Amino acid sequence: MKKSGATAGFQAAAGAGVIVALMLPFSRGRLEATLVGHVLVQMPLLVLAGWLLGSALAEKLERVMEQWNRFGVAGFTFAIFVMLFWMVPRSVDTAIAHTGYEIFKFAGLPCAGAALALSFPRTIPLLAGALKAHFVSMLAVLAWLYTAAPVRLCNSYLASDQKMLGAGTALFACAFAIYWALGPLFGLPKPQPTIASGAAAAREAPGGARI
Amino acid sequence: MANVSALVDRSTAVGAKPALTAVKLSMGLGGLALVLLMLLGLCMRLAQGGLLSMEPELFYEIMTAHGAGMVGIAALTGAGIMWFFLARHVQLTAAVYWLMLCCFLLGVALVLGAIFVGRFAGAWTFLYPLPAHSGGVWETGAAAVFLAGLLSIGTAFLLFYLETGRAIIARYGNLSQALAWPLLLRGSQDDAPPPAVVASAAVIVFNGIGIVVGAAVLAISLINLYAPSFTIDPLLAKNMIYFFGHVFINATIYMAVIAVYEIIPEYTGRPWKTSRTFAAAWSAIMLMVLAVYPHHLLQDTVMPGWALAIGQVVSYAAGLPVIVVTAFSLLVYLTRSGMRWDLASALLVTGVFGWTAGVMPAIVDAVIVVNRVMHNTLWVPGHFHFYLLIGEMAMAFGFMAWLTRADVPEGLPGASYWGFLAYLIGGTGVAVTFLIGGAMSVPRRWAVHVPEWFMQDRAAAFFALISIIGTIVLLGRYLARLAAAAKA
Amino acid sequence: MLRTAAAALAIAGILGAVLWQGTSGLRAFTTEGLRRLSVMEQPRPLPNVRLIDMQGRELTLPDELGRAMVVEFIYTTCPTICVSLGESFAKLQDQIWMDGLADRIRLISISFDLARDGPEALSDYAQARGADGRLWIAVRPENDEALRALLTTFGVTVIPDGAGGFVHNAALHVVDRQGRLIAIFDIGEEPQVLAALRRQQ
Repeated sequence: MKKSGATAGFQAAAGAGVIVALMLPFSRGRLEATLVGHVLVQMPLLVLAGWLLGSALAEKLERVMEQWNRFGVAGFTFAIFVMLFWMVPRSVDTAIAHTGYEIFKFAGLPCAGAALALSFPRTIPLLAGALKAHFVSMLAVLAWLYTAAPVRLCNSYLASDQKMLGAGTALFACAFAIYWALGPLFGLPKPQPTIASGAAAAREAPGGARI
Repeated sequence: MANVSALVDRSTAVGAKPALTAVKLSMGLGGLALVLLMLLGLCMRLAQGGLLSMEPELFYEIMTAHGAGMVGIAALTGAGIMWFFLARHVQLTAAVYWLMLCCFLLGVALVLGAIFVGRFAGAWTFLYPLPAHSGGVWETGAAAVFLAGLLSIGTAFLLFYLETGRAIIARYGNLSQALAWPLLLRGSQDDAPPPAVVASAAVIVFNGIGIVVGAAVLAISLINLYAPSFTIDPLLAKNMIYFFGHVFINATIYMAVIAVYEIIPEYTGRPWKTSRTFAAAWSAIMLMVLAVYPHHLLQDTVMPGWALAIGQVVSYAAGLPVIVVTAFSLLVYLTRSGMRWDLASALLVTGVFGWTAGVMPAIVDAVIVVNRVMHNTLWVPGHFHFYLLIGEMAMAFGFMAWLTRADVPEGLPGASYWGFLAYLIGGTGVAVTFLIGGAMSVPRRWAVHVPEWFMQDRAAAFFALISIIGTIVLLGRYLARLAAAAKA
Repeated sequence: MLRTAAAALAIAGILGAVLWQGTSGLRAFTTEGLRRLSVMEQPRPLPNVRLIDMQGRELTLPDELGRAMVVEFIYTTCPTICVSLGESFAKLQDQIWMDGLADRIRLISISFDLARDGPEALSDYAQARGADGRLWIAVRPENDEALRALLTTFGVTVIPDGAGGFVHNAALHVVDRQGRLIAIFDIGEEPQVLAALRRQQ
């Protein structure tokens, strides 16, 4: 499935636009004032923006990805580590106190999003499914961690914020679970390749990996 | 990864019988482990009956191993059956089954190590906060290894369901097609899926959810072990654990019954087709299995009333749909056609009726007033021994007998007849003595019994011995025939 | 595939190192954890600042007599965590008197609410909590600059709670006789605080 140049251009513009909008002092201040705004709005939006940029660049990077990112293994590794880093409460705190961390956040999370966009279409359904399942249960665990923490995990935020973050994360987990269940349950009938030809076919048809 | 893709490419070339060796291996391993764990069960009953002296610590280690192991065996044999027959209808990738088996065996090794090296004895249900509060019997590390082992087993089945789900979607478009919902809603469906696919799709949906919840509660319990100040709401933990555990153990028999749908027609000569009722039953069960677990929490008075009410109602209802559809259809088959009897068909039919009978005590237990009195007695082990021993494992042995059947009809000759009979009588005896113990209000999970209870303990041990003999005969026949086939 | 594997390994190696660094080798996942760990590993010299106590007297940090100290950060109108801190300090005060170490140790409650906590408020606070004024005193930094220097060194973050008060990381800070912050403990860990103090004598 060839993507038209216009679509790619639109995606690139939207991705860049979101990042710029998030960098504005106004939105930065507003979003980073609360834990929910920081972790559940700003960070996911950065990843989403990266996803859009990555999708826009997919065709240009096709040859590089073919060599360096087969089945999306390298991209997933990158995204997992970046996300792990930002799941650590200390990183969230430090992003507010130190500009270096803040820059790393604004660069790293979009890159993680781009890595996901460049990896999901080329992976096999088994890996994609396992990652999604683990992501959902990881979110549930995080929701519990923030809700059950006996102490404030972030010095820069109120304890009540932390509870809200826990509840919000639980909602995120449910939303992702439902969203990812809808495809396999009701998705349009589409002939699916077996695992062997899966990677090849998935490359031709992004979004082919559905489980 | 280069090796994996090589594996992947070769496996699709096999096509029709992916991972047949692995399935045979799983069934054999399951059978061997079953014998060992049955022996452990026998030891427990002997110890309770005062015929074998055993430290309570050891009793609880054995109980943990027996429980975790039997759940694993039921799941593995069920998965083997589902995989084998699903491969007749969709294109599966053998490498994934091998990967599943490796993860599973890794998990088993961890679980066994945690129990017999680390002395973990917190029961397979790892109910919070027991793993973290051993009273000095086991170290935190042992509990962590046990939980990690269960996580590994959960991952194994996650991979299994992802691959079977992918293959079903590749063939039928999506899971609602595979559940025959168009047939259910409109009365007709082009390319309606066969029963094996309908059943597999339903299991994939509910056990997939169960495993994701289970992985979360396992991870939470693991974190709690090392950061005890991060406490868990015990009621939430119990809900999550029993949701996971109940769904997971239910799934085993819903996978195993696929053998009945696929094999029995070979004996009756009439295909088992997906009807509207059949589709409705499986869709109903898919939802009910998710809602039935609260009957394990009927004694938790802090649970909201509506949840308990749902638990009771659904427990009542959940047993019915598939059993009615399966057992009733089977009866119709049996009466209308000249059914050929041999070991395989006898075991499969036994499995269906053992399952049906095994659900009855569960329905009784799910009544709130009964539950308050019975749930902590041997009544509950009575129910699940019935269900698993005469239901799930009978189907598994039926499948194994069918896998190694001779080319010519052979009926039920000598040893296999006696083996079958011993298995049936011994197994039923084990389950019924548990039920009698429950009716006598003998508590479950007690290492030491008072002399008034010795009678039923000893009777149970006797029947356990008989059922072990039967199992050894059935397993020996399977292994011997596999070996003979390998030589030929 | 080989290149992909190499890329994945390189990424895992580099980002794994970043993660290792960012959690001090998986030992400190929160800012508070990091603060405690780094103080233990590398004692921090206190800044030279002037404080004003509840009787309006000036005193300096570090202590001119070379006494070991336990420091807490409070604000006098605090309805929650400072109360628990106060109880901790009262326990410590009793035990130190019993140990006969009262003239070699100081317990210092430092207010960070310069706008409201003058000597009078501090005096009321000290009285309400049972501070004896000799072993245990309540003080405030002389100006904003001194306050900032203290908060930075101790690693205490103070944020408004939206209801006129503050939220801050509360702990018992042990300062040795050389005027270095050497350990940080939680409320309820008084025995460990006393042990650390005894090692100073």
